[in-house]
Amino acid sequence: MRLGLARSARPVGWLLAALSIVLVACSSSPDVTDGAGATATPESQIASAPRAPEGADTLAEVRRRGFLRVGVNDQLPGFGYIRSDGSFGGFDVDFGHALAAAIFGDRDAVQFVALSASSRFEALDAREIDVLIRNTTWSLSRDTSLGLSFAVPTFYDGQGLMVRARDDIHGLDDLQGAVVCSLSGTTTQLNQEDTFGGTTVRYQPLNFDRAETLQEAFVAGRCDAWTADRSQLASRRAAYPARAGGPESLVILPDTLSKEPLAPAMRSGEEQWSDLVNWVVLGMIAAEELGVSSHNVREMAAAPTSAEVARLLGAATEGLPFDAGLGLTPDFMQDVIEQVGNYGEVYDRNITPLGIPREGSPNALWTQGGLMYAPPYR
Amino acid sequence: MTALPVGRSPLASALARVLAWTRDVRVRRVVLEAVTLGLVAALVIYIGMRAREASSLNFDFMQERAGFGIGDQFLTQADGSSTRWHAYFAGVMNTLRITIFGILLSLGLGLGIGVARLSTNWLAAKLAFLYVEAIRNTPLLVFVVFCYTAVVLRLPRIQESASLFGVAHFSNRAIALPWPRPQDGAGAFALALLGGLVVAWGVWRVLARREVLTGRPSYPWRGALAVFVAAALVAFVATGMPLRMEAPEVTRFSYAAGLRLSPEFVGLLLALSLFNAAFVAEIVRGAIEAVPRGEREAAAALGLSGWQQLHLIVLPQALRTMLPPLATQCQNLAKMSSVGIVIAFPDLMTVGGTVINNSGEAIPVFVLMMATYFALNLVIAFLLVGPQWRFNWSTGRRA
Repeated sequence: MRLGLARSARPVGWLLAALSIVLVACSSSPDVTDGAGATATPESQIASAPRAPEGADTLAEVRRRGFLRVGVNDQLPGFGYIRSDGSFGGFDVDFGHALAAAIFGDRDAVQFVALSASSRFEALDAREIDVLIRNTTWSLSRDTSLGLSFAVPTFYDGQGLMVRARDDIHGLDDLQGAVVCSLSGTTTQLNQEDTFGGTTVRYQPLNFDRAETLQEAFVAGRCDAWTADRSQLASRRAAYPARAGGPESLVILPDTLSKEPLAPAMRSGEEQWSDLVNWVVLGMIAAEELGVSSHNVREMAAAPTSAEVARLLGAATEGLPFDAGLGLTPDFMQDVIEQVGNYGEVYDRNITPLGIPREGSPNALWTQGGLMYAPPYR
Repeated sequence: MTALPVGRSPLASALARVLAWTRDVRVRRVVLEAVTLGLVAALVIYIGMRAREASSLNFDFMQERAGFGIGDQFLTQADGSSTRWHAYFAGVMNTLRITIFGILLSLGLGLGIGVARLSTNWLAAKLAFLYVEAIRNTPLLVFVVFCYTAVVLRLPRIQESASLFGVAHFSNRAIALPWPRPQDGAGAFALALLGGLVVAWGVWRVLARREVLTGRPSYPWRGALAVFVAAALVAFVATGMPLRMEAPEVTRFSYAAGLRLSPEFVGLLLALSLFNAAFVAEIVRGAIEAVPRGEREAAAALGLSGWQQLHLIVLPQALRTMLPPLATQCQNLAKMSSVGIVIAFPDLMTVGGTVINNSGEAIPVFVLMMATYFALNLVIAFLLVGPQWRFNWSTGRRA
């Protein structure tokens, strides 16, 4: 009996085996062939927030949530960093506060999300944040193929070179044979090769993976020059260890190796939301130009000095106040200026202590030879 | 089959059969294997399809301009205007260089430490024990960063470059050594050396054969070495002394001429060799201990000295045991060299990473890197385990 059963079981066993292979193959095929289709693919399961349709109303979503989510840096003093009390501070962070003040009338209705350089765009794409303000360079390919939309630059940065003051290096020509250190994983290396490629200066590139190791090598004298965005060099210089001579022992050369306009980034295809972010930044620039600051904003709103000031602050002088059409209350800029300040105040609070002068740089107002220019508020 | 009880419905008996199959070991085995195979195949196909969706394994982008420079290169001259292939090849050469020298150093050092652990000298044994334990309980990454920042970077600055008798210089810019520079006739000299090597091998064979046949000591190794040195000397003079020693000079930012080893190379070589030597030492110790005590006692009874016992009796037998794990350890070293990225050593991992950053083609570059490491490991396995076949055969184990 036992033997007979086993013998007759053999073909059936093979049949079962074949069947199971077919079953497995069938059940896995929808995922394989239809990865981007409507079926539940692992990708959409992993994403923490559901993907909203094209042209989603981010402003409505933010209002419903009750606070704004902003992606920032947490390791760049002056731009985005964590203060000793655990709160976020810095230039980029202040623009996040400005947006919260514009939307909710409360600069603290915002949650900051610390992001690394490599994860920042994915976080924006996955709707984990509403806007990215993290020393991000506005470039063509990011605007197009990465699906981003950029607001007006808040800071015009550029790649520079930092050297030791006692090394007698004053410009690119003095770097013949020198060791130039940089961080890999950025456009830094490409810019540096582009710049030196057109000259006869032959330098030794050395690309580090981690900023700590790079600083250690620079302190030890392994490198003659350190190249990075000027804003980063300035904050590195400000935090340069005293045992190695402190900030005074370093000089940032006047040469510029690249243009790096740092701008807030949004998801493309969300026109209204992009306009809002853009015009809050522009409003802060316009406020400085018009002489409106956190100290005089209430007086200016009560008695505007010009029609442009009245429109900017949404002051009701004659008839209805000017409505910017951004989906905000007409007087949203009053909250922004009062709680955060105009562009110049934000700059002086965060960037000036780093030792990056504003006069004569692209970050000055257009009336003073810079590039900070707001289209008319009307 | 006739034992089927009368009165049972066909359905019930079919059910009973199915139940019986589920308890049959052979059926279970086949079903389990089929399901496992199906799942694995489905997973592989799924991952492959996902990867293909993200990238079409096309390597055209590697022919584009690299756009970045590589500071430390070995036999290659890639710069910003070279193709990405060229830059990647420069990275591969750096990986090869660190692997070859790392393996040689760690094998030599590990053999010494392994023998020292078994030494009757109390101090030597304890020191070797401490070394092995200290290294084995430290992560490699930490050790590499330590060797770089706390050892190599602590060398004097270039402005205070230290010198050894005026011929060798060292600072944290480079270790610069005098190095023979080929002059006219170097090619002929190299050919002559090769010829000398062949002749020396012939001499070794003749002398070794005579030793076996006559039983008289004929010193095949010494004879071969003498022939080779003599041939090299004659060739060197005959070709007009085509190698000239070149001493390095100190320049403003670095050194010129001579052999210049970058701090990143020295740091990584130091870390990898010291780290792997500890594991090699353990393999050597284990293999020596696996040789029966009687062998050594018999050798001692024949009047062989301690050194003779070791290199004539114990090590040849231990070698057979230690070769496979040593090959694995050497393969480990080749793979571990990828941590050079944390101290800016431009190996294939570092260069590959930069290419990924610039091109955005992560999957093809990772496939390329994996294939390169795979090929490198196959070569190491072949070189180290290859002799194993001969050893086994000579003892008749193969049969």
